[in-house]
Amino acid sequence: MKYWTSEHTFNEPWETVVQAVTRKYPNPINSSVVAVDVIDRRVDNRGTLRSHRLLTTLWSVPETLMKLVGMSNQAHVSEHSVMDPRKRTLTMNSRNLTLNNKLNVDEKITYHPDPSDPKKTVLRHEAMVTVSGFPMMTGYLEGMVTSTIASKAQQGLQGMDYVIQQIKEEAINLNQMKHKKTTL
Amino acid sequence: MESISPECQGLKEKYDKCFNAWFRDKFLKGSRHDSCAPLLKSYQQCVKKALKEQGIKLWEGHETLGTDKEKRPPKNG
Repeated sequence: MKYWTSEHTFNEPWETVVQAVTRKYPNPINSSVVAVDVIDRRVDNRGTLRSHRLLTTLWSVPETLMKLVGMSNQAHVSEHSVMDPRKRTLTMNSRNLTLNNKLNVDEKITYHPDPSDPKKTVLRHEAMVTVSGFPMMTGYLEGMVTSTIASKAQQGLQGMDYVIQQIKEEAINLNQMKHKKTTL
Repeated sequence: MESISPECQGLKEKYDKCFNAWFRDKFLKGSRHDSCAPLLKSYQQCVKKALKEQGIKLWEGHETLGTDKEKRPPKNG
């Protein structure tokens, strides 16, 4: 088992960042995510938004590992999220559905306001990688998958920045439209 | 964005459009009434059928996520 964690601070308030999370795909930077479906979504009696999404991705595992286990290039991931707009927290847990008898990738991502500046948002990303069935190579394979996750996470941040920019531009346009309406 | 099944694409697009506006203009501003629920229902039914056909088994998640049972640091004492 290999554990990986990373933290990043966005210079945007939580409300903007979580909008970008829900609208992150498609974006030209993270083109390996080819489909996103909402399996279930509801507002519970505590006022939190609970979602279950299915992500279909072009598998980012290194080619050597793909050949070794003889898998197709599409992989599915279940992602459960809980969003509390009062506390301004978003927690997402995800797990791979493809090939999960040999490889388990459990990820947890949280978004919350920066304690030192509520106008910023902290992303914390944790991943647990477990490879089984390759006793002599476990450490090597887990290391390989973990470094893939790290580089994908970096690309994910770039994708987020791209979508955040789009949302900000939309907000400006919406405001301008409202302004025009009221001045007509 | 694509759906896992081309059959569900139209339903997905209608729902996503509704959700994005609801999320930005209602949910983040304090409203809890989910006005997109009817659109979600027909889209969901389509996706569930596609999952069955493609033999995809979902992960039901950690039951305690976001509830009081979620793992928390121990209290004092």
